[in-house]
Amino acid sequence: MSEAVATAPDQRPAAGQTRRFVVSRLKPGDLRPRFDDFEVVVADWTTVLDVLRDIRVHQDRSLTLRYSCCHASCGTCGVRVNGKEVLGCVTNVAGLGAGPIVVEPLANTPVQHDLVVDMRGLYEGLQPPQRPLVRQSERKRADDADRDGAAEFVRFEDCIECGLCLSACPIVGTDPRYLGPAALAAAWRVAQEPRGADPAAVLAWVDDEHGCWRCHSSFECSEVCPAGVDPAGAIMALRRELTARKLRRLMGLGRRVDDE
Amino acid sequence: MSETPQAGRLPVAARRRGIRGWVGLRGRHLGAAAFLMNRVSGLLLVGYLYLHLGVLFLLTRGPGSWSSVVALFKNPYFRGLESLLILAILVHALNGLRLALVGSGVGVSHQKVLFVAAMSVTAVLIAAAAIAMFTVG
Amino acid sequence: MAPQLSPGHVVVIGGGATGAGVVHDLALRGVRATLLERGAFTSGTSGRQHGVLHSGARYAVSDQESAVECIRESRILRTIAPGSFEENGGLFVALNDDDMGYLEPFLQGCAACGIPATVHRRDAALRLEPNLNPAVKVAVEVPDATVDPMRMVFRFLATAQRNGADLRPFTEVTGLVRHGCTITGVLARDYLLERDYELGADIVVNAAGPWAGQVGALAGVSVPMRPSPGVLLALNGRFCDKILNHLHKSGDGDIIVPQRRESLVGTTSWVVEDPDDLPVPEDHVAMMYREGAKLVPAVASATRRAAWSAARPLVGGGGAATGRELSRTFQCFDHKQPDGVEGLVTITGGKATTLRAMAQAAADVVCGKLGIAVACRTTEAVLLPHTAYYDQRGEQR
Repeated sequence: MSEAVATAPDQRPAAGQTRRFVVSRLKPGDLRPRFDDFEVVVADWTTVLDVLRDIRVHQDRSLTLRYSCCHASCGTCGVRVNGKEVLGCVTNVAGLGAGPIVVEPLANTPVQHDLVVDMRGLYEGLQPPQRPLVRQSERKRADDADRDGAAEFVRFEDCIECGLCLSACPIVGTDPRYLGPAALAAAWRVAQEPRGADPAAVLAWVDDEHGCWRCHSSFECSEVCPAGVDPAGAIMALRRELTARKLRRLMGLGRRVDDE
Repeated sequence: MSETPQAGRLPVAARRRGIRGWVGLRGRHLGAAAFLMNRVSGLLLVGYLYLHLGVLFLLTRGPGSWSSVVALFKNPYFRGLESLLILAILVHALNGLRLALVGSGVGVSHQKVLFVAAMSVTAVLIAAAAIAMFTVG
Repeated sequence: MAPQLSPGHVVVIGGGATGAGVVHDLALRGVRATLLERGAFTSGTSGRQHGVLHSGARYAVSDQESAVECIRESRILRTIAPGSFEENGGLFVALNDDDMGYLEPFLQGCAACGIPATVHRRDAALRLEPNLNPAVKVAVEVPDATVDPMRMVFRFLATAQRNGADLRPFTEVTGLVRHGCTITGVLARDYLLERDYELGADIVVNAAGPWAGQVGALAGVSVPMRPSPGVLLALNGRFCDKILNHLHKSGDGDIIVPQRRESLVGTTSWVVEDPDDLPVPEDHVAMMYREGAKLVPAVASATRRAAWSAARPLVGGGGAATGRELSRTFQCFDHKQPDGVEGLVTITGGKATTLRAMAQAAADVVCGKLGIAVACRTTEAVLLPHTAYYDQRGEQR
């Protein structure tokens, strides 16, 4: 039996704090980004994305930004807030401390306009692993016989292709040939759960000076990842796997990675 | 369609951050601080090698140069530089141990704790070294 | 290879699920089409939904027309967008005697609509979903599926783009150009180059969802939209693998959808005039927690990841208080009758599960008006992956 239908709310919460937002702006043809100041009234649960949408609707319709799901599932609202990579939709303004809040586009990729960046680098990196968009659900069931013999359940991959990791990585910032945390994490996923893809080919692909060995352990990728992918852990796991295979081969116990 | 500039003409600010991404710690965490410290200490150590060669060269000018080199070693500014050298060695070596472990896939989820431990040991040892440096001889 | 593009030009306003479906259908028929969206694609409302590919069971008692559409379209979408759905299924959960009273009509409704339904007794239900309220009496399993809404719509966009459609996000329509009784184009504001321009069109398709009324007003026609937002709550933690519904007449907070490592609880419903600036009332959020906890007790102690409002594009006459009474099937208006305006077609209402059918209806009307006798192929054409959208965009948008 459902409860009474919610009454229609009539207006936004009146009480709130005015905060200053400094937003990076750039349009095609501009040589340098500029910063625009906006003052916005925020409430307890207001997110950075709420603010940016509010600015667009009430103050400057020419502000361009990407967003879609509003709950960290689509990965399109990535920005840097006070220097740190976040998804605007789950970043609470109240948690950002005092002072002006600086919003910039993600780094290490060309800015197309305002807060919208070129995502092709991310997608090109994700191509070679041919990563299937599914993973085995963590919830193992003791008795799966009821499920028509299916012993596992597959769900969408954790990685939401947001690109925060690439923006935060100091090596992506200096080495254009580095595969990057997103692609390497995807490669590790394939190695763990091949699901039809070829793990040997993927391992050979990352076993390169610009692959998993290029990482210098700043761990920023895992710090900023909003989806719990832990790319740094994946990179170290790839190294462990490659090292173990190499040792086994040296001791005559295994075959070369690309023999499989 | 809109006329957007070619990739080559996009401002550098719009593309890779370069070294600014190593040095700028705003919004970054402990791992990035460790990353930066390893690079700085590494550069200091490389610089030290040249200084060391320079100092050794002073000794090639015959037995008379011995006393002047020893006097140099006792110079407080020099002792300060030597302390800095020891600090760089400690930071680089102890963090390096952390990197060797973590890079082999061991203790990855404890990387922050390992860094704090490495820096704690560094702090203790540099304190001892500095005391020795400035009080002995 | 792109099909031969027709000499006629269609401008589609609104880059959500509906607009994306329409340009895809038109592009497959070789019709030259331009899609205009004021923000990023799916940012209007389509991206914000819980992400359920409806089997139709939810409407099997109250709206059988919708239910039949859903089961048919959900099967088509699985064919044309393979890999876009978690085949997790949905459970309709009866928690008390009132719910049990609804069981028979529910099963009959599913049977009448051709929706496969399997009844699980309490123990089997708890084995399937251990986090379910232990008071569960029965749970009916139906072929619902979890979908990532943004990515699914982007498959339509990527395919349309490959087939020659011109996709222009960050371009807002500020006016419709009208000569006498005929719409001859749109006035567009490009937010990249910060300039206004006129874009000629033989037909303009209004696919602006909750904003369809505002777009209609630009042409001086009335589109009876009743934008109906609801609050959704994303909790940290994946509490179920199946989509959990409370087995009762549609109400608030009676669905929990697993989305990766989150559980989405929804939703409420009220009617607004302006779909911009939707509030997220905290009492609705509190209700989501309460209602969600009835299905899954662990919800009560779950932490909040996000809470947001999304407007349903409901269409219909006046008098609806909550929006739940309005039909959820779609409507396609050719404004020639009764408004006497030529060159404008509105496609609105509906839900994401039926986006392909909505697009077909609109494209059929458009092609009829343009005298293009090409049949719809969207039931068979397999869509490109969403990643293909970025392959082709180059440095543009």
